[in-house]
Amino acid sequence: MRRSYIINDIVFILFSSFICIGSLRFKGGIGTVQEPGPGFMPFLAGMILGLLALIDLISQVRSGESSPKEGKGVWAGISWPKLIPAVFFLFLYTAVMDRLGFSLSTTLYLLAFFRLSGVESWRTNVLASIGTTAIFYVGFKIGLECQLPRGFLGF
Amino acid sequence: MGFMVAFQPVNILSCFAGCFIGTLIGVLPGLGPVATMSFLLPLTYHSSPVTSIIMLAGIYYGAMYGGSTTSILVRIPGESASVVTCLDGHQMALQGRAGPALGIAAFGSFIGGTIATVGMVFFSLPLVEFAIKFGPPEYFSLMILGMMILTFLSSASIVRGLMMAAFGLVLATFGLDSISGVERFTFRINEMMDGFGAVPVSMGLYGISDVLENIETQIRKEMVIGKVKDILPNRQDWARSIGAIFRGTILGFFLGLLPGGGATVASFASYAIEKKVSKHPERFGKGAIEGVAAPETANNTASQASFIPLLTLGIPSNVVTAVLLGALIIHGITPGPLLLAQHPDLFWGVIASMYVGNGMLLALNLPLIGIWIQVLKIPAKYLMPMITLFCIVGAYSLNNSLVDVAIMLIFGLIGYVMNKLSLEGAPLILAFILGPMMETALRQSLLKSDGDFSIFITRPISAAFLAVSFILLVLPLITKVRRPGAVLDKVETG
Repeated sequence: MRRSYIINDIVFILFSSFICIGSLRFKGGIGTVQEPGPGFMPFLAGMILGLLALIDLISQVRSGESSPKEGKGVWAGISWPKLIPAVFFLFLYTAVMDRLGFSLSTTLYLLAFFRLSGVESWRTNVLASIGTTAIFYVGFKIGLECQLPRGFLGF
Repeated sequence: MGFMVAFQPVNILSCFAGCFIGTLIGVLPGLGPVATMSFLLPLTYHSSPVTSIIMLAGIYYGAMYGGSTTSILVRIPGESASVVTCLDGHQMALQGRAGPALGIAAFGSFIGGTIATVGMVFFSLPLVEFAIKFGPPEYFSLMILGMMILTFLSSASIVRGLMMAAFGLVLATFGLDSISGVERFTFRINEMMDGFGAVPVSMGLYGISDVLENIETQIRKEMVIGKVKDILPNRQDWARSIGAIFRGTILGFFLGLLPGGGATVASFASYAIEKKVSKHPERFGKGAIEGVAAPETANNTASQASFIPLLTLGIPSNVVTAVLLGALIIHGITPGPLLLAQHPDLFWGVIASMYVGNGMLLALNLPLIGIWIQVLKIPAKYLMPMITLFCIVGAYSLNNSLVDVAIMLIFGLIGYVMNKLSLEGAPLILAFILGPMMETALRQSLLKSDGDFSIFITRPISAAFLAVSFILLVLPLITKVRRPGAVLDKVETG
């Protein structure tokens, strides 16, 4: 857990550095206290973030020196074979939705996601995917008049 | 006027829809009021502002009612404000007393909610008069106070809580600067000109991240089997609970009123106080009915009281009212001291609808308990993919843009990592919502004072807000001095 916090703090310190440097480069920069510029608030918030991350980092390092035994890691016990495909399917679905259209892309997405979440029978999976897609299409597109991607099929 | 507005057929229907949806999502774990309100927000564009806010408000306090059902029957909280109800509620269910547990939760919520609504009537006007004295320094300091309260009450580590708040402030600066029009961290993406949307960010942090957790963790449902009977609490139950209900009401009301307070904080605080004042604290955690009555009353009271700072000051006191603020702005309404004068129909209509809503929820929750039990039986393997679909369609429908969906998914991943590291999302999202207002107030204050920061401490109201914020900041440090092991405890427990 402590190692994960340390990595987290380092990431935040790097991020805050990026924000502070970027703020100085805006047109108008950070301005002055009499007339704050567009970079004033991001620079200030970035500095506070970096400072707090540094305080936490020092605290984590010092606590590690006094009790070096690290417990079970945060990432231990995670079901990576489920998590990684889940994230992949979510982003893939988003990427293809415009091209394939809502109906086709959603049906394919649900086929994959239902399978991943434990629906073992393919027949149940297919029926559930098509049924759910139809309900969403009718509910959102027709019922609530939401605009949904049409894709090459037109729906 | 309020009841005339609330009893219009479209508003009654809207209130019912909100209460029903709210109860449903309160029952279902994995989809909280924030995510639901976020993706239903675009659907309110076709309605009037009054009707929209009545529905969204109904979702919020409806979720408080519904969350107790799954906490008691399945020991899985429907949303965060019902976490503590699991402790005694489920124990009561295992002892064959699920009915009285559900009953006292519903009645306590009804009593607390009704009293909160009366309180809103009496507190709103004095608060409006007080708020008229506010200038940019007061608003800035009040928002600092709100973030400090939320961070102090909700975060195990104050440093990490403040880090999340600072992170939220940074994210809020992305997009066009509202004063100078300069692009800030837009990465030359057109959709980033308005920055990250509050809706995709909150749906990602609360909705998608929960789904990812559920996907990789098998949630075992220890459902209470058998018919739920005797929903009406008996005389002894009432005797034990009545004090808890009224203490929960008072605590919930004032915590809901404070910026940074809200239903979750109120429920935890109420349970802790009830245990402290009890003559038999050893009963808590083993099926004490007060352990259900107090937090359930407090969370519903706080959820309704939190509308007061939103409507009168224009400052959201928690994440949910932050989403409601977004809804009001989308409808072209700026909440604040002038709301009562400019839109009295909305102001009093929302308050009156809460009377109606509380009655509806009592009627929905108890007689329909059988339906909610069936809903609970829907396997997670079907539910989780559908929840992601709701979120994706909701995010897309905001601007018909897949960039919003991508932003939501990215924040879903960020939220998932934050959950693993026990980093609180509430300070982040509140700071994110308040960030633009804070920046404007800060820059206006500095322009007014010619760069002199003492404007924040020379004005008495602003100074008072900052003084309380400072006390909350140093309190954990004082605790550290008294208990040298506290730092290590906090680090090890996260």
